[in-house]
Amino acid sequence: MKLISIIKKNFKLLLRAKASAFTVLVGPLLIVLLVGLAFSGKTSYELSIGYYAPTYNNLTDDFIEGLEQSYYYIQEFKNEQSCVKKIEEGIIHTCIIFPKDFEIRNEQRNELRFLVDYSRMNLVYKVIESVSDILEIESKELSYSLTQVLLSKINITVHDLDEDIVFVSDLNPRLNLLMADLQKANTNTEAMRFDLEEVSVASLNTRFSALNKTITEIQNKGLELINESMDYIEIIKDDAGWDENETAELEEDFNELKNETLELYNATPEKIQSVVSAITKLSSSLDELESDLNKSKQLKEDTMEKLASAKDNLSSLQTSLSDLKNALEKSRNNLKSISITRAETIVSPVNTKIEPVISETSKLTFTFPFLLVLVIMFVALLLSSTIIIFEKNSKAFFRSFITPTRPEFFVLTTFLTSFIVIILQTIIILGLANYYLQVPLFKNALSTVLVLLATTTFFIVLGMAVGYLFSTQEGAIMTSIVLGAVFMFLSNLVVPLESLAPAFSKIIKYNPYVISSELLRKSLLFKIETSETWMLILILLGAALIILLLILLFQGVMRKKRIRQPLDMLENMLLHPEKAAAKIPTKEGVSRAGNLKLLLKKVSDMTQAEFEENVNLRQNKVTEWAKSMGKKKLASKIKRTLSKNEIMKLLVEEIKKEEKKERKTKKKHED
Amino acid sequence: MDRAPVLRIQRLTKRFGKNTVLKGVSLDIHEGEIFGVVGASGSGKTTLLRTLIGYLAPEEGDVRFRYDYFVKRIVQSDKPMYASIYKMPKLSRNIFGFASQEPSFYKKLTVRENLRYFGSLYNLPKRALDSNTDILLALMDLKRAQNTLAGDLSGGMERRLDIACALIHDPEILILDEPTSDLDPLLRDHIWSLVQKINKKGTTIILASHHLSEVETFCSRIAIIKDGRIVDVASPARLKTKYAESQEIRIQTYPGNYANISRSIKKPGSRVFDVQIKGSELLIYSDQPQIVLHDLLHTLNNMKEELIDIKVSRPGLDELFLRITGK
Repeated sequence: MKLISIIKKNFKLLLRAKASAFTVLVGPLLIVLLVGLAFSGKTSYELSIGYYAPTYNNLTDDFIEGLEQSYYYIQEFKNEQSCVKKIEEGIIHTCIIFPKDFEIRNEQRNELRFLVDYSRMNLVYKVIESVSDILEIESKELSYSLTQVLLSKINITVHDLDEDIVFVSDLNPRLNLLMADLQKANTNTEAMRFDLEEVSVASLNTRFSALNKTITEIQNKGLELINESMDYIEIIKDDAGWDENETAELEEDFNELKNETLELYNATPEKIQSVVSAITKLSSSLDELESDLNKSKQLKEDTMEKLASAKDNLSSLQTSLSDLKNALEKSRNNLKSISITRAETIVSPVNTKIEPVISETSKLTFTFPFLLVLVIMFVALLLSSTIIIFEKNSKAFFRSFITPTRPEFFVLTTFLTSFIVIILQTIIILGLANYYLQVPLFKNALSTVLVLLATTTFFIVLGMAVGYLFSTQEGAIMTSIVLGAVFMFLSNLVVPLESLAPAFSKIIKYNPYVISSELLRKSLLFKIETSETWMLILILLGAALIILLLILLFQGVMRKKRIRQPLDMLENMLLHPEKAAAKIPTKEGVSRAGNLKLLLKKVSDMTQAEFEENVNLRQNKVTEWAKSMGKKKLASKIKRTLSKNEIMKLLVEEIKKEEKKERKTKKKHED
Repeated sequence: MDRAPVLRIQRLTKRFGKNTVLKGVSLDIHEGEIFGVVGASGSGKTTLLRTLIGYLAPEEGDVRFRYDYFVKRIVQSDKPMYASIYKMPKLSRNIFGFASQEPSFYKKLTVRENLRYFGSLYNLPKRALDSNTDILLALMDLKRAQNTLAGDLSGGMERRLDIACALIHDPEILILDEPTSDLDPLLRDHIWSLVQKINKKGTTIILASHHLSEVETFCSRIAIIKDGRIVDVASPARLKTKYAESQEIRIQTYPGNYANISRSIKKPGSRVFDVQIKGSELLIYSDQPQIVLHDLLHTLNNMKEELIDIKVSRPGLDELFLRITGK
């Protein structure tokens, strides 16, 4: 019972603190709703791609066409610098720089440069991926086209070779025929007989030689004999007186000549016989030779015929081979006509190179602007709202209020207090960042300072508005946190804005956190001029001014309605029954505690002594009054306590119930 | 002393929603007086005081201050000149010092820091600020606690600091709302003596209380407020004379059947004005106590009530207040 009672009370208090209840109960739902709507129905990114091509040709056009066919926003730039500038300004997400003389050639390495902003950490990889996808498609198409050319040439060559093969295949039987002809010629040639009997011819020769020799010898001997006879004759003549020796010698010589002549004589028939035999044999051989020659003649004719056929064949073959040579040359030329032959070029005709637009590499450096603005945002919201709530809820508020000090002055002092605190914090953070992270603070010092001042101003004013709108510290803190969380969730820090629903994306671009963090990012990381940021700075300051005016307006209204009779008077009674009861109007003409309100007032007006007199251990007159009104349950509850406050609270609760009933009854009647 | 009032409250009506808290309140406040506004809780005292200083804007009526008096250095006039505090808020806020029912200062500031802070809100020059701070610390007996955090002060010191804060700019009129509520008798006396000291320095004081008896000693005039209307305005003595025509008979009997006794003696035509049961006593008011006493004793005898104690006296201001306000 007690448990339920306490929970019930907690709920009542929570719900009756309307602003806090709104923040606690509706705030998270609002975040979910906003974030849900923002991220719903979209899987792609709203990217803007810039490109710069020093020269244009078909290949460049193809690539640009490929980019334009994507669902991204494509923008052409006249030079690389202007493209980079737009990245720095956050207008485009990447810049594609085409190489000069962008062509697919064997010796040329084509490199497309991507310029990306790594400070957009949660987007940069998506940008690279998306643009790489597009360019990869183009590159693939190009590679496909190159391969297609190669394959087409190969196909043509294959086709030609097929024809050549048929041709070569056709040569084979012709060569076979040629071979057969030659074989036949060979056989014929082998069959030709030109050799005579070797011996017969040789012996014939020898014999003729011998005969010839013999005859010659006979001749020589005869001659010699004649010569000697002559000599002897001479000698006889000269000397006329021959002695015996000389006559014996002449006799011996004549005998010897006689023998020799006889030998020659004897040998000559044999030798003639031998020559005759040899001539006979030769004649026979010549007959055979003649036969053979006749046969050979026949064969020669045949061979001549075959050779003529072979010649024809060879001539045809020569023509065919010439054709084949032509065909092969054609194929070679065909293959030679393929301009791109480097495997690397065919596989990857275009290479990409990713280049950051800034040299900083530390992720913390990229995150720093977002973190700094985050710190400023939360500190400003919480600090300024807390200061306002402190002041509003302070007992000194009344005294401050009645001094001759304009409310605007309090607003200004609250602003300045928060401003000083945050600026000091910011200076410390920037100092540390400059020292440890080497964050370049002085690249655009003026711009950075202006952005920080505008950011701080805006969030302080917003925090002050929260402080003025809420009456409790917890309500203000919760609202500040919810606001900060919404700003943070719907920013580039968590998810790139480019991934949000387009309608939301357009609105969220003006999220003060987005404006501030983007401005600071550009100021710290890029060389950006004040002239390029002043518009957004003015938006921030303008918004701050509007909120400030609303605060002053609100203060004016509240000043007029100050200490108004709260409409939820009875609700206040639960918290401050004694004070509240004093404000209950009495109904004129009612002389006794005829209703609960009057009873409550009566009890409230009692001094402690009077109360103790009416409510003590012996008697409880309030119980009796309640009974007299027919409120038995209430009487029973009242009877259990002797505390004035407790009794008043019970009465207040009962009044609430009664009023609720009355409202229902009234509504029923009206219906 | 110039007898023309320094402050004229004219037909002030203040509503909160449908609830009219002040109903045509008109009062004149004179220079140098201690003016008391006495009424029950919820009668409209605080609303009146807050409307008086311009913290609340009335729906009807006006509060006018004597311009020639408060701005005497600039304006010289033979006739009193009045201006609405709502039309000259900056000036009027310098005229008034206000110490509310609950201390109104920063608990995290020291006593001196609080005084200096509120002094600066009144645009006091440094020298005046230093001087006023020192004077008030001495006057309020807070010198020793000047460097103590206000949150660490005792109840009496808090109240004194609050009054000091209200006086830091040396206002012509000091308004005190229930200055002694929740204080013990000793502290009350201390506060009242301070109020007198301040008044002696020439500061006009308007104070609100629901203890008529408490303010009767110090106030030169008292306004009784009931349900947002001024019932009467007079000096305490005049109020006593006016309302104390009846005398009070206090009896204590056994078994104490006071309801029956009341019914018996409060017959039509009797000289009994009022009968109240207060604890174990029965209080009877009458302008002819001797006649009532006769009847009373007779009744007691008839009802077999044993008389334990009996007193006859003129009523105090508290009783008068209750009677005036109908409580």
